[in-house]
Amino acid sequence: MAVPQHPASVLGLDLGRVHTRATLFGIAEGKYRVLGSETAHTTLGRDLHLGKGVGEALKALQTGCEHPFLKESGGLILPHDRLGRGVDRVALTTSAGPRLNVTLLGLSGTGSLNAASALVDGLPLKSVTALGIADLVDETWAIETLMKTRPEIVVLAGGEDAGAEDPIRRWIEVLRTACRLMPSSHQPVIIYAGNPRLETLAKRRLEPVGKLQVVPNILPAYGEYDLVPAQMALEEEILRQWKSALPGLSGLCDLAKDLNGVTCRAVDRMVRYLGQSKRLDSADLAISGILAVDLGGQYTTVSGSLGGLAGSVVLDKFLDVDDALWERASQDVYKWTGEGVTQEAADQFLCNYALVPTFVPETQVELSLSQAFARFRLRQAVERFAKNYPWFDFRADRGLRGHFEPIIISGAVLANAPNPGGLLLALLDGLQPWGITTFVLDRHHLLPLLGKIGEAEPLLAVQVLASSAFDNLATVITATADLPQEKLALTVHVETESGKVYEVDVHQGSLRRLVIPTGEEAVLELEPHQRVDIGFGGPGQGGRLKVTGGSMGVVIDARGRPVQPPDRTEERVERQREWLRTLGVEHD
Amino acid sequence: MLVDVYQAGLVKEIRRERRLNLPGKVLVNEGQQLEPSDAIAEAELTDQIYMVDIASSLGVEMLDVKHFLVRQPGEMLYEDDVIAQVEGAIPRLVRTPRPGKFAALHQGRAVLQVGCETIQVQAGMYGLVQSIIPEFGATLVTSGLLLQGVWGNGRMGVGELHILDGSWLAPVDAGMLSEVEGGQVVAAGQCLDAEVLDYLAEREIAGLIVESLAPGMMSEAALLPFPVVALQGFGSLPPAPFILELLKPHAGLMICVHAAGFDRLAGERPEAILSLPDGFEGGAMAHRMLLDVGQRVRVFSGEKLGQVGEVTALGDELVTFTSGQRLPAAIVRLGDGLQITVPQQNLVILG
Repeated sequence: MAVPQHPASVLGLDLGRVHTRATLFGIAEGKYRVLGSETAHTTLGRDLHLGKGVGEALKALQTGCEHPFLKESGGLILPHDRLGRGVDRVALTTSAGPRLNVTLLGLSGTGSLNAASALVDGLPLKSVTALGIADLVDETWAIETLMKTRPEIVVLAGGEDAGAEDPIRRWIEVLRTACRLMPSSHQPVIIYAGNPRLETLAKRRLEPVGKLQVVPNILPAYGEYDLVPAQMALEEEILRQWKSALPGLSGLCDLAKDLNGVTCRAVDRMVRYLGQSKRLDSADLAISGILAVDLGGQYTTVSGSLGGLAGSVVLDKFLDVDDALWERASQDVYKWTGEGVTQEAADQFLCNYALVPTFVPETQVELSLSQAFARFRLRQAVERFAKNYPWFDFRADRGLRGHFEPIIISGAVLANAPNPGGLLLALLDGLQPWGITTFVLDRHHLLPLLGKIGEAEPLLAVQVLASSAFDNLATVITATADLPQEKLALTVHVETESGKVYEVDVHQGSLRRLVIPTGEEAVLELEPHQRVDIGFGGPGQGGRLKVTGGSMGVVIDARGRPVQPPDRTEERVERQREWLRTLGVEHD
Repeated sequence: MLVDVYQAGLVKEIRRERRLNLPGKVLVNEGQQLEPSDAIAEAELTDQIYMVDIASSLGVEMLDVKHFLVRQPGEMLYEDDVIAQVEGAIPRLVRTPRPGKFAALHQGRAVLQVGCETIQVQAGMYGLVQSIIPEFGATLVTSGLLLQGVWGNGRMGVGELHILDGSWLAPVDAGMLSEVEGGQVVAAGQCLDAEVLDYLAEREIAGLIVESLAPGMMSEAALLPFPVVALQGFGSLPPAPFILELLKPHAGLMICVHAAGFDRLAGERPEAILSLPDGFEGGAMAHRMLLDVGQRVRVFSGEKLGQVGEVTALGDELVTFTSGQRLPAAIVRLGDGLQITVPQQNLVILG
């Protein structure tokens, strides 16, 4: 029997709405590594072809690494030739397309419709209507609503396994009638994800009137979600529609053969995998999770996994003009800006920022405004995540409980921030984690590609994850208590690998940084005040912690939860600058 | 670097596709001259149905209803038409209470299509039908002045161009509005006072082309009954004198405002088109183009936000800006002669 050959090199393409990234994975010193990664602007729009942006990224990538893989004509050498030029496989992830409209049909708002909302929120989809059991009282209205909203996809959920059947039967009939009244070109794709006892009925009644996919129940038991099979079916449909809408995507997907998919799904897969391996590796019984946050040019994506449960949310970067959150966004940007700007200036920034998606901050003020907006995006995404997944314990008034380590960060706003201190502060303010965690930067947006490549080449994903392709930004220890300001909250004894020994007192309300050079190990002996919780099992519980230095070393956040910037502008600016100074960001 | 293009000038051939997003009927012919309000294509979508409960009326099982139908799905029915009946000594009948198309049977009930929404796509400009897109619409062509903006409220309108010259020097105030008449399209520089919008709405103008609006006015402008196109964006941004110079010779002529939302994928931008007889050479530009020396650009960041200038050089080296970002830069000479360095990706081309 032939032993399957591992590819010598794999080209990863990640096509975002704003940027196209090309990454070359290959073998160095016997292990898979990132050989190079380059970015170009995505050539998206009328009369443009996605292949052009990919071509530019590839040219830059070939120039930057010593591995030729392009023909003189610009085409890809696939697979590699006798001289070792070329690549053996291509993987592609994309988030460049528009959201598709979805209608949700289910039973209760707290049950199947909630699960269906979580399903839709985790993908680039837009829920245009959600109809529940109460809407079946007026079937005429329900049919009219389905016709008027003209969804591209209908998700029919409801009825736990062996649960309610009658309302689902009625929804099947309502949907069947609505589809028969729609023009054939506009009949939606139907995903049946409800009570499995009615699958046969769903097939018999709905297959003749639309493109039907039957997937396992998304709510097999109350409070228990099983979203992955439905997500896979929806991903397939999203990709199918994007291929016909985005010139060039179809050809690029053909290059990638079966290794292509929607970016957020690939990240989700990777986060599930990491969460799973963490569970298996974990020696202690404490539940620890993984969080991945991407602040992209089009979407804000959060994927998380904790104790065998996982989920994700994908939100638009910019709000619609009629979005109820607009005012909050404006106030948040104003309140979190470490510059003395007016509310109007914050509003002006928010309005115009949305008009030029490629915008990069040119001045300190713009940088501060864009990082303030990043805080809003983070907060908005984790709030939605918590709404969809009860196991994710985030509340605006107390921050993110639960142990998530690492928190992996990607997206141009964060990964290309000019100083790591400003970036870390935005992350701490936006997510407000508890306990001990590590922030890791995914500068080249590798996570989705590894998620996709891992489907065929798990060894590559595992070896790249263990390499230095990801940057350790900082280990953060959050000390939370209801102590008076400036009271001693925590004492830290530090012993570094290079032999330095010192002690640091951390007071309530403060932020402290321990400089531990990147890659250097240190042992911290943590002694919290009896009312202070640092994530070692409760208030007053301390212990030893071995850390590896990242670009920001170790940061101790004793500012309390929630972190609230002062109301008065001068105080607020001064406080922000003080925090930034602590994190090594000097102001002009 | 590839950047967005906004056209602002005379264009020899302005070609626009107007199409339905579902198949329908095309109402125009190739070579036909159109007015902005002319419908190009339309489609009908059922949006109202009426259910006649046959099973209950006849006292039969839901699944048996089909055996008692005297009219079949697909037929047009008039009021009081018999749709189903049970024969016998005492026959029972079901009549349609209102006219409509018998579309389907739903759970023992007849579904009548009784109302249709007609979806139309209008020309939105003066122009000639250059080609037909079967079932969906047509491509129109004209020549004239084209002004594209960054934001629009989704509406469409046409009217006589009325220019508020003074608003290129100071924001629009009540004094500048005394000569505005209903049905006009008003062109202005800065508009920072929400009351101005209320006043213009009261006057029932046909459209507003404005360089910039105050940020707080975006939500109000989105709800106005007339089309609004913001050329630059939001805030106290300096109006570009060349826009005023472009508009001035055409005051009093009819101008169409098509304030579509910005759609990067479709290449659609909110815009105003003033059709003029051919006789100039300006070409239509792509929606995104490579930045180059000599192009007219608008600056979208820094202290000179909103200013217009000309690219004099594109640097080979990355430049570190005060934000700390190292980026490809362009040197731009502004209208007053000042040369500034700007991140290339914060520029848009003004064609």
